[in-house]
Amino acid sequence: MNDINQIRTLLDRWYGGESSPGDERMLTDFFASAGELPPDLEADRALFAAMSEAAADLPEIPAELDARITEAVETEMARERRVAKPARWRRILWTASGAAACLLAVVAAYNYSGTQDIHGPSPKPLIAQSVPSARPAPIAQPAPTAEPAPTAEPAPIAQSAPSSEPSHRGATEGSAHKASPRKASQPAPEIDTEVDTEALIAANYRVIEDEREADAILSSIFGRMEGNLAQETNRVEEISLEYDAEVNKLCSY
Amino acid sequence: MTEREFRERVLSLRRLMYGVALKMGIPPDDAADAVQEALVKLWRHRDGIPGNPGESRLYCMAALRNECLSLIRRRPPASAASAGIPLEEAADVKAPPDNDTGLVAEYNDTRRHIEILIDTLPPGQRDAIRMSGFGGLDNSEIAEATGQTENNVRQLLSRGRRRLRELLEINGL
Repeated sequence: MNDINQIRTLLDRWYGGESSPGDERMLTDFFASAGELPPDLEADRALFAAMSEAAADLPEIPAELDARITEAVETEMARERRVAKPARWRRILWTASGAAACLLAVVAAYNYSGTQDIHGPSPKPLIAQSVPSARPAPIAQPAPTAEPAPTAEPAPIAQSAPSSEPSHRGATEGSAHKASPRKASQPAPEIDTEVDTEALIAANYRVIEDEREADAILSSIFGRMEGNLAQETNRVEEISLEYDAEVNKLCSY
Repeated sequence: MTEREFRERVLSLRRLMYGVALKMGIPPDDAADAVQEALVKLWRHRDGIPGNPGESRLYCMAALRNECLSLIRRRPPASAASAGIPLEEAADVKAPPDNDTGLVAEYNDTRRHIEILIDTLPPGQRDAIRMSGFGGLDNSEIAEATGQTENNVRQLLSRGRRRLRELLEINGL
C-alpha cells in the first residue's frame, strides 16, 4: 500500500509537470512490473505502457542518411590517421636536418681553423698547424733573408717580423708570434727568423714561402669544405624526398 | 578506445540515436545531422567515453541530446495558428473504416496511436511531451531549448499529459 501511495504522489507530480526524468523512469518501471492495480491507476498504466513502447519503437535509418553518417565518421578517422603518420616523418626530417647542420658547422669550423689569411696589405707568416691526419704535415723552413716590400704586392708567406699581426684569425697554439699592422709607407719590421723557424720546426710546422704552393693548399682545403657541404646538402634533399613520398602515399589512401 | 571498440560500442548506437532524435520531433534530415555531429565529436573525444557498456551508452545518448538541443534552439518558434486539435474535436478521432487496412493497422498499433494522439496536441505541449517522454530532457533543458521559462514548460507538460490521458480514455485504450 505504501508503494501505491508513493506511486500516486509521483503521478501527481508527473501530471503537474514537476517530475524529473528519474521519476518518470520509476513510474514506467512500476507500471511495467505491477500486477493488479486499482481501476483509477489502470488508465495511467496504459498511458505509460504506450509511451514506453513508442520510445522503444526505433525506426530504421534511411539508407542514404545512414551512409552519410558513417561516411562522416570514417572520414574523421582517416583524417586522424593521416595527421599522425606525417608527424613522425616530420620529426625524423627535423632530426636529420639538425644533425646535418651540426655536422656542417663542425666541418666548417674545423677547416676554417686550419686556414691562414694571406690577404691584406701586410705580409703575414702563414703557419699551418700540424695534425696527425692525412693532410700533409707542414714543415718549418727558414725564411728567405729578403725583407718584405713596403707595398701591397704579395709577400712570401712566411716572413720574419718582430711584431706582426697574428698569422690568421683562427690561430691556435701553433702561432709563433704576433705582428702589428704595417702601413704601406713603413719599412717591413724585422723578424727574428732564426728563433721563429726553429720553434716552428720543433713544433713540426712547415712555413710556406711559395705563394703558389700556399694557393694550392688553400684551394685543396676549400675544395674539401665544398665537397662536405655538397654531401650534406644532398643528404638533406634525399630525406626531404623520402618524406614527400611517404606523405603522398598516405594521402592517396 | 580503439577504432574497433568505437565501431562496436558507439557507432552501433546510431539507429537508437536517430530514433530518439526523430521522436523528439526533429525532422529526418536534421536528426541524421544531429547523429552525425554527435558521433564525430564522440570519436574526437573517445578517450572520455566510459568503459562500462551501460555508462558509455548513457554518455553517447547525452552527446546526442546536446546536438538535438542545439538543433531545437535554432528552430523557429511554432506559430500560433497551428494550435492543435481541441479536445472536443479530438474525441471525434474515430477508428478508420475496416476496408482501409493500412490505417486500421496503424490505429490499432498502440505505439503509433499514442504518437498520433501526441501530434494532435498544440505545438508547445506536443514538443514538451516529446522532449520529455522520448528525449529524456528535464524541465530546465526543455526551457533552454525552446526559449521558455521553466514555469511555462511545467504548465505545458501538465496540460499535455492530462489531455493525453483523456484522449486515451476517449479512444478506448
